[in-house]
Amino acid sequence: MFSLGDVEKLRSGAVGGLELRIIQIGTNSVTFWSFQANTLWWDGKRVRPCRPRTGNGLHEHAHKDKDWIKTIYLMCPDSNLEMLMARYQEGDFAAATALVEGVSPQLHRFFVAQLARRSDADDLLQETWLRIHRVRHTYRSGEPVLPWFYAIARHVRVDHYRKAMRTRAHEQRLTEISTPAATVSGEARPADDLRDLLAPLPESQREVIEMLKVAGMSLEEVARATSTSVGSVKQKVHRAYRKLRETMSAMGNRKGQRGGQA
Amino acid sequence: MTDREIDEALKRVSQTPHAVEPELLGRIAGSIKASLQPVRRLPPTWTLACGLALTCTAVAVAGAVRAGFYGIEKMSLVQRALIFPVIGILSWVAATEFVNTMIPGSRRRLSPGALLGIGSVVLVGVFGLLFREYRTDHFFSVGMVCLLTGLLHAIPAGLLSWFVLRRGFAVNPTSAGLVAGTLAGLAGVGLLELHCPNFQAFHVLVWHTAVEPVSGAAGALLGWVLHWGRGPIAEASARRTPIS
Repeated sequence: MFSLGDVEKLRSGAVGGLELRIIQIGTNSVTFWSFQANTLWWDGKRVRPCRPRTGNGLHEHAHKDKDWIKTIYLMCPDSNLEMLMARYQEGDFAAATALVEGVSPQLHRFFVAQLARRSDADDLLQETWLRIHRVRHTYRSGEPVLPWFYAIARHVRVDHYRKAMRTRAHEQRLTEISTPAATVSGEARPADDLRDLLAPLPESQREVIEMLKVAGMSLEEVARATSTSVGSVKQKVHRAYRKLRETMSAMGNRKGQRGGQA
Repeated sequence: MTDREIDEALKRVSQTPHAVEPELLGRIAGSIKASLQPVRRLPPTWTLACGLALTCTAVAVAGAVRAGFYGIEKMSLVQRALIFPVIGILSWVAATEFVNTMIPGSRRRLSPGALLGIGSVVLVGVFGLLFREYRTDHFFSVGMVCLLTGLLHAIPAGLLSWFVLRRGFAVNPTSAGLVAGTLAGLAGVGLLELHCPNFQAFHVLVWHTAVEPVSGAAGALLGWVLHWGRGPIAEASARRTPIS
């Protein structure tokens, strides 16, 4: 199908009108990903079409050639974070940068959804990457990478929360940070909408909803990230939805009454 | 308001792009670059769990070598065939869970509390089934000696377990301490079964079994103190190592 001679064309993404991403170039072969076809091509052969994201959405292909990375992990359909993480562990700065750019918005949104101030979320994001960098050896190839990131992010957030509680106890400034849905000066942003939407929920339910519905993780991945069972995650989601239904219905009723009075 | 409407509201929010300041991303990438080197990955879970189980077995056997194998010598074949495999299985489960607590994003099959509870109940069940001598002599004085002996051997088992998993990262240090304490406590129980020749049912049920929950609680407390309790030290340390 495709040969090494096509590498330059592949680089430019000009083969067959498909948008392509080169995953690995070996001594005599090339592996790449076709975005439109959601397909992995290996040594010029179509390995398999990637299923829509179900379960942990992970596909594993082993290769014996020593010139190649031995295993490619491809997370479909929108990213190959596991493979980037493996290369980050091997000291590849390009992979590290790609991860920072790819994962940071999700983590930042996760923090913003839990906190009132965007500057706090910035600090937490930096702190999270500091921890990620220190403990990057604990990620193991073949495991889904998002739960690993989120587990560390949760740890950082809890640390921050406790630190904030101590600071507040000293400074007696209790009202500023304690309410997740506190108003933020300046222009309203999408993350603020999310925060407002999830504001009635307790923290444990809010983070589960954020991971499941906003970050697009599976139940299994959320369970891994929160160090709980899938059953516990389902229970939290169920309770969160019940609470959201009640709150939104109450808000709708109030708006209706105001409209009637006007 | 229906679930579908909530789903749609969340979907709308999730589809909105969320940008992070490029300068911030640049700073993060720059700080990573400064110390980016290949790292040695952790071994597979089963390798680490084997290491932990062997460590705990070694501590229990070494303690029994020093104190004497009076307990196992006095046991019947059925008692030996049931007690030690049960302690072995519980130790393996605890070791696996300890490895999982030290690797972020790992699949958790048991919560630390459930592990401690199930371990204690199983030990009580097995001991209650096998020891039928309901007389009690010197219940507290002899029992306290056994409890302290078990806990004294749980300490090296816990320290060595921590050494085996020193490259791990506990996202919840209290849970990790609880699981480590449970594992170390099982090493202490193993030692008592090898050594203690007192087969009075209440002695074994209360004082031998107690080593596991007491050790687990001590581990949880230690994890909490080392992490959450050191507030000012942790804050000072964090201030010393900012991301540039």
